[in-house]
Amino acid sequence: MKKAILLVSILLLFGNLPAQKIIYELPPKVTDYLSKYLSEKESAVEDSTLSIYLEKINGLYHLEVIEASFSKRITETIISNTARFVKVKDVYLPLVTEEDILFANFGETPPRKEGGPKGRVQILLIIDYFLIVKEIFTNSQNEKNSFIHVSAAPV
Amino acid sequence: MKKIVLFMLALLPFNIIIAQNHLEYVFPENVQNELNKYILAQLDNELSQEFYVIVHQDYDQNLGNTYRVYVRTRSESLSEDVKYLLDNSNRIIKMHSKIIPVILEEDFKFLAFGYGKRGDKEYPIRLRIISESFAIHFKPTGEIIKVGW
Repeated sequence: MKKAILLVSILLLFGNLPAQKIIYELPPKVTDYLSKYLSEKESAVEDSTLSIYLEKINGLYHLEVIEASFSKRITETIISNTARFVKVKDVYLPLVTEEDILFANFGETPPRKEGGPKGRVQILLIIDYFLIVKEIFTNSQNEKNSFIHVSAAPV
Repeated sequence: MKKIVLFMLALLPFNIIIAQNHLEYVFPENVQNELNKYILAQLDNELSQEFYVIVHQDYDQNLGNTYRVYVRTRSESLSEDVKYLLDNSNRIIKMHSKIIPVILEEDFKFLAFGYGKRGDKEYPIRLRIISESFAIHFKPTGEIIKVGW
């Protein structure tokens, strides 16, 4: 009987394990730049409040490090379930992609008219005002917010 | 003691459901309809039972950002690397009672499937997307540009 309890306990334990992480390794220049930035954000790294948003604009990748700025809906729907992480030296930051924001199921909205079809909740992510660094390409800086912005050509 | 085991066994299915907390994608309605039609035809004709989807973003000067959703069959011959990606992607679409894994173009660009060596330098080994499959090409608004192979 003890063996049966042990077996079921193991099954319960393994059932609770999250999926394996999918780890992104960005080009070395981008990783180095991120690493420098993270070394100035030790407390945020320790508190795991940072995440990364990756989007493609005109064929170039744009990457933003976000410090606890995402809405509850994005955190619960995407960050909790992302499975993808960006590796920066020994730190793994959860990744949110442009596709996640566009296509994730954030739930339904009530019909506009009685008996009409339900709509889908869509999220508009406005990132520009979070930006603090645009170092690699434009060198402009604004220290107020908790954002880093790196642009890198696709590998 | 038996009651304890039975109780724990009863918890097991809930435990597995909790563990499988996915990030579900829902594409624009037109795209969902096309996907639905294609997958239903495959199932009805018993051509394949298991699928996966690759989401790819294109940029064109005239069209701007557009997306391609490739639908591929999950076959036995898939490499272990792709199987790993599909099993752990955690992004899915639900269609015809099936949970279909979704993987992203970025997975092929930024995920290292081992390392090779060129001289003294290590370089990450990346997978390539093979795009010969049914695809739906659309604008972010859902307007369809092309459907087919």
